[in-house]
Amino acid sequence: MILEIKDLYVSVEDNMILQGVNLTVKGGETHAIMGPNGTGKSTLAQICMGHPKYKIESGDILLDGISIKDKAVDERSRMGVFLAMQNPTEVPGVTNFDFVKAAIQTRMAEGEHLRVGKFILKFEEASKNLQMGKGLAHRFLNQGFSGGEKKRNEILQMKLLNPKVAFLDEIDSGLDVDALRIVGENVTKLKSDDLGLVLITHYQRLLDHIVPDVVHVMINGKIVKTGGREIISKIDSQGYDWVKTELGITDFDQRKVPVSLGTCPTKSLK
Amino acid sequence: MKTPTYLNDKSQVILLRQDEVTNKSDFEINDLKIKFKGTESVYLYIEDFNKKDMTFDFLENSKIKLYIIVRSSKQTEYNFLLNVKSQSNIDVFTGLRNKDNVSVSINRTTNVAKSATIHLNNAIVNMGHTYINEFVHLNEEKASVNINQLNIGSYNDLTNVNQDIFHNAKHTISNIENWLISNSNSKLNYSVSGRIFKGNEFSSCSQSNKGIILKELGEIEVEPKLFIDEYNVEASHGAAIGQMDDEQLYYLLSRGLTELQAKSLIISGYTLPFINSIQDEDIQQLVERQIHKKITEVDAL
Repeated sequence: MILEIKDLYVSVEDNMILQGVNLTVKGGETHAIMGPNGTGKSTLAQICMGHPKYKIESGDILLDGISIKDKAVDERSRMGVFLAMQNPTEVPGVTNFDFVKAAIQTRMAEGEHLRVGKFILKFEEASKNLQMGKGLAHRFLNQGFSGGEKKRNEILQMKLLNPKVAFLDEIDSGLDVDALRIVGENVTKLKSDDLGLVLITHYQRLLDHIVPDVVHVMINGKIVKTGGREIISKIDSQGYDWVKTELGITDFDQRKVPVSLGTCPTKSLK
Repeated sequence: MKTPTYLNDKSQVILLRQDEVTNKSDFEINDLKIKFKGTESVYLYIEDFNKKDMTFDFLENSKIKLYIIVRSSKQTEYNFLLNVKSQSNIDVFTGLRNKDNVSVSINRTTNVAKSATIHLNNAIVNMGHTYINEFVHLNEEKASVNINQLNIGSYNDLTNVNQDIFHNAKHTISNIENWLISNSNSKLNYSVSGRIFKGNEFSSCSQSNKGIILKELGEIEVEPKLFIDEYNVEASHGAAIGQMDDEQLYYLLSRGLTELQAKSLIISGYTLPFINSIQDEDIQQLVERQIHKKITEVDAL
């Protein structure tokens, strides 16, 4: 597996968010992308998945040499792209089991049938490994889930769908220490030469559990620095100022938009 | 004429077909007036019946589950009068199964007596033009009605529904929940009214109307209305109509479901509360099949 992101420019509602991103992820590799808020990390994950809100202005995304930039969201998923979302959506009335079963069935060849008994066992095992508690299969998709349960449910889906490349977008937010360890262990077990991982995070704590091979720093919609694990602890202790200083980034574009704070009532004296 | 297979193992069945009345139940039928008593599940199958007027009396303290299936292959009109006597607890499911390009009109008036409750579950998942006038009179204290209505339109279906609840006594309760889905060019028009007259204090009247429009040319129009002439009451109404939630759709697509599968799954989730309110499994499956057909086989998503 090889995912190649080539000179990618992406906008949302006329704001250019990604400004020339280049990234190559091979099977077996784990990449971490770190960076201040609003620099385009989640945008990168969403555009690879094909979120309709984002628009590719130029550049390309290739999976195993095939451009996926014009493919539909579901097609990308079936080709092997997975995104563990930052805020997984609630879908009332649709059970976890029916949803995952339908997702697996879409990946089957024509004439192939899902062996439901085997699938139930696999689902239960994945649920047990993630300590999701009994009855997960019959709960409605993400409805009434705690933040941590939602994130673990994303990993459960990832385990059952066997993607080629998976983006984990701030999968550590909302997780307590134990849940973070469980998620970390489960994701680490999935590592193989057939899976490329892209972790998007702000914190070292996730990367203690899922150890990356490569660390990227993203600022102003670009990957400005790439290196090894030493970058993580430096960011954790010093923030991003040293990166800006080192690279001479003086204008950190926070995309500030003037806003009205309202008006105060005044009383004029006559 | 054949009896539908889902009715084969039912013990209380009444069949009204063309000019023929076949009574396989314990209940007496006199001039299309049926008196229900005791605790029973009864299935009333009406197919192209040539008479319009029917009266159903639910006697005191009865607990009847009545499943009415109306199947039409020609233009039909039925007038139902339901009299719910005191202390009864009645469930009436009504499902329409008419064929394409057929017009069906149902006029139903329900009178509810003291401390009686009626649940009206209506599945309007049929084809063609449907006109429904539903009048419920809560005539004595502590009378109550719950209406759950699922309406799915496709192709050029047209549904005009008028639901009107009359709180004619104190301490009466009404609750209406409408789940509406417009697929392809269908048009669903609803007028939903609750009326609490002067002096009928401590009454409660609520309406909830939810609608999903799946195609640009589809239309759902709901007029929720409350006419309240008494201070000491509870009343609420609302209508929320829109397109399918884009984020829900994206989430399902991102796991590989096709757009049709994703929409179908979201709709089955949306209709689940209604499906669960049907207590007979065979009828539940019948409605599920109708919904599936309406949503997937139309190729109109």
